[in-house]
Amino acid sequence: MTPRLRQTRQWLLPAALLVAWQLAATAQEGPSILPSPVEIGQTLLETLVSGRLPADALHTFAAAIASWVICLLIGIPLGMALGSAERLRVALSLFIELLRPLPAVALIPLAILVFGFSWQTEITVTVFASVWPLILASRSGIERMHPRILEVVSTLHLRRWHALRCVITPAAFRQILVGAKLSFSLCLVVSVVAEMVGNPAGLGWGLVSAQEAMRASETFAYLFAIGILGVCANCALDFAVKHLFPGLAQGN
Amino acid sequence: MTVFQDYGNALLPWRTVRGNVALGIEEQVSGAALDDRIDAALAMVGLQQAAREYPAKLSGGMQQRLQIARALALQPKVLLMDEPFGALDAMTKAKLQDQLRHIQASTGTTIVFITHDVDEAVYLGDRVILLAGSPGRIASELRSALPATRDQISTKEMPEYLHARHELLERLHGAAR
Repeated sequence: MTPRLRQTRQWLLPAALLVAWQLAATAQEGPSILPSPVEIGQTLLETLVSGRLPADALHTFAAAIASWVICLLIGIPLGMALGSAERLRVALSLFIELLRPLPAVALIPLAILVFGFSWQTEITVTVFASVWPLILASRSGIERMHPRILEVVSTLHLRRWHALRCVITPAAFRQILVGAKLSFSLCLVVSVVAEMVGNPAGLGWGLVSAQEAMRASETFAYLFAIGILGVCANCALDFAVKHLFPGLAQGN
Repeated sequence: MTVFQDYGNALLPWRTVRGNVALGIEEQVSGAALDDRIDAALAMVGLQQAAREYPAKLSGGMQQRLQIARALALQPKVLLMDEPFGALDAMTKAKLQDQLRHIQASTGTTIVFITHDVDEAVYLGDRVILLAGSPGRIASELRSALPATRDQISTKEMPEYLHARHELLERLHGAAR
């Protein structure tokens, strides 16, 4: 199968569903519960032009990025430390195992009590939910490193900081990257959830207010916008990784 | 300064050949001096052509030469080589043996070379030390009567070579008994 044909086939099912949806929506009688894709497209365009949707998307995106940066700053050093220091691992493992299964959403009421309905609530909950994969990936990146790498570090008499920067971190980098990507997708998802209940702003809040106002086509429009934002953000991340770390394709 | 047998795990795959050689000395020297040290080390093992490649692109023999170059860049007084040619094919091995003798002659570095191959020990060594285990201890020592310049074909036909080889094998079997 040629790549082009394959691409066309991938679009067949979504296109067919859209057409079926449009037909079903126009065929229904009485007050419309199910808006047609055309109506949704119009609403999407309107909210885009009015500037409401872009502003909401920007808020959600900014919150997700801010949370992600905090996750990187906490998760990578903590995970790497856990991977290299047996004593730290023993001291913290029970604590981590107790906290980790706690659903992040369950933390929202507590965060609201402390921070109110605010961006602090959103960031706190998002970070709490999204930092785990980074900690675990960074830790296993260190643990799975070939022992020979450490012998090379000691036989070359590398200083600690130099070894950490030039040998150990790059050696664990692939694993850390996997964790960072997972954490990024989680950040997007959880910020939307937190906006729906904990911080009246952004796409999550837009979605809830559209639903509360019984504006079906606007609800769908926000839903699409969230989906598109997720896809675009993940593509942008893949692109950035590819161009920032070209050496990653080498070896292993 | 140690050269390991498993060159694949000892090299940094995300660094080029130059970057790998630089690893041990980049904190101490920089700029043109660093370049000179790297060039000199690469020249000693004949890897100048591959300087910009990544290790994954190199053959096993070249990767091991790279590891040797990285060690040489530190200008060590003693080089400990732990079965460095054990994983290489016979042809590459012979070539690297000659190169190693040459490097030793030009740098004056003391090389402690660990091998299980009696022929390799006799051919390379100025002194051959036979170890017995365990616990590891020196069982006996043999001083080489071979000339300093060695050749894969003619040296191995010399009576001194054959004698040393015979002697060593006999002691080895004696130690095993």
